[in-house]
Amino acid sequence: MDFLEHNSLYVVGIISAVIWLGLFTFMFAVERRVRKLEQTDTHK
Amino acid sequence: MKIFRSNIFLFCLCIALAVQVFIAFETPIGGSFSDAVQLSMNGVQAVTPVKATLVSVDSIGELFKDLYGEPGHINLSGKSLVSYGSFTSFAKGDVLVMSIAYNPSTKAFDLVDVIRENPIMTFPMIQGLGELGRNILFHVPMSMVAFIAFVIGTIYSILYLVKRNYDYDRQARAASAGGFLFTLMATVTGSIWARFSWGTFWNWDPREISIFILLLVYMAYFMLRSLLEESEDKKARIAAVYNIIGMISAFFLMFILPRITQSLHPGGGSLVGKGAEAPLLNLSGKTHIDRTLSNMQWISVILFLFVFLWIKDIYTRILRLQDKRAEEI
Repeated sequence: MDFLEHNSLYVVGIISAVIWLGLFTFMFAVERRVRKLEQTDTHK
Repeated sequence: MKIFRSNIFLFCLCIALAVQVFIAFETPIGGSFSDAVQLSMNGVQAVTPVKATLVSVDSIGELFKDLYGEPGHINLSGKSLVSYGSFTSFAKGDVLVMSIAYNPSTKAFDLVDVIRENPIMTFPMIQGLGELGRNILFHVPMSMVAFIAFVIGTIYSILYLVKRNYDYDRQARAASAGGFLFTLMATVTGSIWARFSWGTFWNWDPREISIFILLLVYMAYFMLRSLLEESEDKKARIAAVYNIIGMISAFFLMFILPRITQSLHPGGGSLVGKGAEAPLLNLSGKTHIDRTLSNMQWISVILFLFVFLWIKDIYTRILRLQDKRAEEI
């Protein structure tokens, strides 16, 4: 708790970075799936 | 847009956003000596971060000049600044960001800590916000991107009404969905900010009410587009008309209403001359915001805009695939 109190700014910064990273990972996953589906559609 | 299919571009965007978060939280905040005096006298903040340049050493202590050129003595209480903490090589002309406390009896400042020596850049001390002011680099750009997204959505809706190309309808839906997402993110970041600045997550402030109505307006748009039991063309036409009306209300709710009503937000009531002018968009055309913070804000807007365009691109492609499947069935 003491660590969190003294480094609150960095904790918030890391949380923001993790949220962005999570969003990007999710978007990358969706992007790959859409790309696969588009390729399947083109080969049909 | 083909650029969003390049992994290298997306990787660069990811790195740029990580750098943006790093700068937003790592850049020190440095105010002026008058900030330190005012905050101390008002009992708001005993210790204030100040950015100042070391000018000379005299009998009272080290003489500094802050960012506005105001002089101030810093009492070291016998400590030598030259060997303070991990900073060991100060010279005249060095710019320091320090935590200092105002001492009314000596009218000088006591050094509490040295935060940074010769920083590349600093953010200004915004009285009443302190470290919370960093949220300006997330909350404000997200709201701006949300509005740009709604404008893009409306342009596609107009294009659909003119050219009757279904792809414009898909683009309009995707842009509005992206705008909705960014409005939601601006609301969440604003709500967290409100909790620590004003005491509660939600105050029903005019700007909060307007953003809430805006979210309802666009929720209605998505419901209208998906629930109508008409032909595809009629559904798309009704949704396009609604989207244009939604855009007009977005303009009113985001720019007019919060400026004609008294609000906790900066700029509230400025059109009727009762409140402070909005920092960025106001009738006098002046920018009431620090240049460094303003530049970082515009960089954030560009980065978030790319994220929005990526989301829009993926959603449009999903809608194309869905429509193609529906046609096959």
